Amino acid sequence: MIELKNVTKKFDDFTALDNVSLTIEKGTAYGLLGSNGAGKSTILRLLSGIYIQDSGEVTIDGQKVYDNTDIKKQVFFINDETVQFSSFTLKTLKDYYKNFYPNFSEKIFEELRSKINLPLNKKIGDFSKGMKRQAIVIIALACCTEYLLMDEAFDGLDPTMRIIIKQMIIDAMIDRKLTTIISSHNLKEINEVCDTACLIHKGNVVFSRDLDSLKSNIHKVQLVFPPDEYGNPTVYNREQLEETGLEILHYEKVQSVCYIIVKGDIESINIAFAVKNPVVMDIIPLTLEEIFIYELEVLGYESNGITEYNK
Amino acid sequence: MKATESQNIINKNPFIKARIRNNIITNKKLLIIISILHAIGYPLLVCLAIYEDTRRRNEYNSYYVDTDMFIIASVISGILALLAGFVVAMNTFKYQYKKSCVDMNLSLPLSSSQRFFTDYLTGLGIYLVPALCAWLIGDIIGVIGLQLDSEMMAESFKTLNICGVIIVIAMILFYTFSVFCITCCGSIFEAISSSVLINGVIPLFLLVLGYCICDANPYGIAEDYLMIEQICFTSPIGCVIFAINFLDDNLGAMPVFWSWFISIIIYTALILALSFYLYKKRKAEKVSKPYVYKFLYYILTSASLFIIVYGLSEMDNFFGAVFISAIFYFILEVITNRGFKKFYYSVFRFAGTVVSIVAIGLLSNATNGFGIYKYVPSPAGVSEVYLSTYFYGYSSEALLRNESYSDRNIIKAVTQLQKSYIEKSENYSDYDIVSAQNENNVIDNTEPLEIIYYMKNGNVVTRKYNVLVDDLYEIYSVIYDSDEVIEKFENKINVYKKLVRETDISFREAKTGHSYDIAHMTDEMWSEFEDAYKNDLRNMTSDDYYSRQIIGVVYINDNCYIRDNFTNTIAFLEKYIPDFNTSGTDFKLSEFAGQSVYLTKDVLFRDGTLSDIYASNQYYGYNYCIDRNYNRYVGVGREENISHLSASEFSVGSTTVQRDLEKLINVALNVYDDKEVGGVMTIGRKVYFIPVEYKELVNKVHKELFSDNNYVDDDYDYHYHYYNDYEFID
Repeated sequence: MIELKNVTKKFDDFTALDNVSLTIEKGTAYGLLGSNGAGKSTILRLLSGIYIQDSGEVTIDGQKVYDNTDIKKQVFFINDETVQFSSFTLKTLKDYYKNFYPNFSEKIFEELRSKINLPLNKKIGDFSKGMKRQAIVIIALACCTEYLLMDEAFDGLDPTMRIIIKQMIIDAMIDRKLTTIISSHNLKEINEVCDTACLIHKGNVVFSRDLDSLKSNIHKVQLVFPPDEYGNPTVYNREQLEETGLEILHYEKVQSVCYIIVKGDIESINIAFAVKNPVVMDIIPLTLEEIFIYELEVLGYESNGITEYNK
Repeated sequence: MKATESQNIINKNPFIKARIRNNIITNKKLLIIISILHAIGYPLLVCLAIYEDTRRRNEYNSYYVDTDMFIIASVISGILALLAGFVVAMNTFKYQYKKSCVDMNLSLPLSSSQRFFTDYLTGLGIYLVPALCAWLIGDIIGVIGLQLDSEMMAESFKTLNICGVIIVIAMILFYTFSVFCITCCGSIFEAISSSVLINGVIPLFLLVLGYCICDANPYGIAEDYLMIEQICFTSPIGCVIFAINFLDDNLGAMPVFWSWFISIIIYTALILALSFYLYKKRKAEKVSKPYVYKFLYYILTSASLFIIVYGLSEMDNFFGAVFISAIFYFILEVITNRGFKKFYYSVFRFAGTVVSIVAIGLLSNATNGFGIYKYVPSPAGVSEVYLSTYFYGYSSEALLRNESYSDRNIIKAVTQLQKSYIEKSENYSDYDIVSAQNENNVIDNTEPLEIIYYMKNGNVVTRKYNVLVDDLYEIYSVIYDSDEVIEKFENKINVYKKLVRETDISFREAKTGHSYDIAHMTDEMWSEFEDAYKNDLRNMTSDDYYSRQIIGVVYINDNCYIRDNFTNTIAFLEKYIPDFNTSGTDFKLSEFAGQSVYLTKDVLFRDGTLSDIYASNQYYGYNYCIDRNYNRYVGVGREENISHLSASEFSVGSTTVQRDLEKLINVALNVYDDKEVGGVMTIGRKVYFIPVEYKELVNKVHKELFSDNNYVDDDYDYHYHYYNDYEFID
């Protein structure tokens, strides 16, 4: 289990993580979401022992991570860089990592390599960006660590390769309960791979919960209310709707139709709005991308028209 | 650690092997280049030495190839190979300044110490192994190719290999410095500039600090020696200076090898420990920051300013020096701060640094070089004392000149001498110290004395004083009282035997300067001479040192003085020199026909520094003559006190004058014993000192010769020239 307890990390005057607490259970596929500079990569680097926190505690399986070789043997970090392995061939890189990770499996490595058909003895510097990614992912999976941390892991991969790589990761998660933490801006991929997601904004955790409950807890609702006694369309403003006790993330009115993004399960939304006797009430689940956008909007991270586009 | 144990560690920790392999892959090209450079370095030099040796043995008849260019190429290659240590460090610790390499290296399951030491040692191996191989190959080629006798070969290779050890340590220190700088810096520019600066700044700072101290004229402190030891201990350049001096056998104030070795290892280990501490404390996110630890920047800039301000102020242009240092400083500030942010801060810091530097100078002046001249080592802490003097009185004996002593009494006597001169210096200036003690102020009987204390803790303390000859006598009498003098004689004679084995040694009689060759010294004769002289030395008391007359000198590469009570040595000389005569033979003036004879009355002795002026050559109213050792010049009088009988006039002088001259020649001594003399006579290149009891006769002869032969220009201002030259000689 991964735990971050009241972790603060500062880079000079900039606070990357501000008193963050997180718990990630073993076997979870955990997606880290957040705006640029939110602190996602910082969390991954703290978990892989690259950074040390200024305060708080970062533990994996109850042990501190920084400078702890035993724990680091169970963690593999794939960052968003691809240039660092240039002087290696896939074989030498594999042999290099093999010495550091005691559970390294030649069999898995060979299986995965044959799937994507990567050359063994060609210099990685001569690989394309996508091939470099594939190379490090198969090495990471062959290391058979308990935790796999991936920062923008699918960058540079073509759609087919994305599917293959994702499948490899999912297989590892199923086969050996690999805990995966993926940081990505591609919410669709997080949606596909992860079962839990965490939204970070300006160094703070906005939410951290499993995707199903997350999706079932935030909805887009279209409401049309019956006209008043004079035949004019009834339109409730945001404050009036919030009187129902629901947390409204977004409110928009187009003529007599109210478009709102609201937190809560379908049943509670139904009950809450039933009081207002809407003539039309369509409740549509949100995509992860929409959840991301609306949650951040609440926190003042304006999407500037992207919301409109997504509607 | 045993090889098997280290192998076990590697087996238990396969990451070490992997990391080593990775570092080798990363530095592969560099390793090849370094190996080539080293191959062109020392092994090529040895090959060239073999070629020269072969030519020498063939009496230079074999085909000649100009080796100069090869030597230059070899030296340049060697230097480049040494400098490559910095590139290896940069390559090995790339993740300290290259952001894209941080994650890959720091996320690996390695602790900071495992990562640091594996990288440090692998880099060091990549840097050192080609050098060690080249060294070994060079030695093997040398042993096979050079046809020297075994003793000479062993001696040469011993010296060369000790130099090799010094160079290897210099390499380790250089590499460690580079690692230290890379650890303190987060960007490539700062890593390079700091590594370059630190290697130059440390020796230059110490050198300039030495100048700064010596500007205050601290009594007895020699500028050229003040910081040389510290430079040797603290920087790779210093190590190279030490190696060169070691090779040259010119160690003087240089540290003793073993104390240097231990100190530099400890020093390097401390730099390494500090580097590791900083490495461990360093945060990964600091990569790409100019300086991760700003203290290095502050130290380097402050030291550079000190060097520039003081170094250039030596040229008497303080404001120019400050201006140049300002340009240097602000360029560094703009680069390091990546712009002009907080520039006012830089201005304040610059002003503060310059004020501090000036304050250091003023403090040095106010405290007479921080008072270091007052330091007298405790005799208990001194391992050896080395005395060096150009004193050519009794002390020019081979045994006493430029020699180290470890006898407690000698060390105590020297420290007491130093203490007494320091006490006197509180009341007099350097020159006044001796003049105040010099009662008659006519004969300046002071001599420069260099004292080097080799301390038990490995330090070296060097001082130079002008001391009265009487004080030197005191020291020498203590030396003669010790048993060590016998030991020194044995050592020297062993060296001299090798040097003069093929040639003759000679005995020079003191009175006339007549030389007798002792031809074909056999091993038995050497032993006989050694035993005889040792016995005589053993029997000699310190009183004998003052009172016994020197009858002559046995010259074996250097002088061994024979006193009239050296019965064993005299017996040896009588045995092997058929016409040996210690009393000397009477001269006839006719023996000197064809040579001019100069006679000087009222002799004034001064230490001279003019060169290339041989006996009886005149220089602005002075007459200089070479002393009996043919290498010291003594001003012997004002021009009006010098008379001469030229070669052409030899026969025309009055018979009385000739007879008187002949008498003076026969009483004259070839050896000046530092007592007052009646006059000095120079014939050709030989100098004769006339005892004081013949002073009247000297005056009489001088008067006759001077009135007969000397032309005095009315316009010649003797007084002016006298003092003018007197100052010049000082």
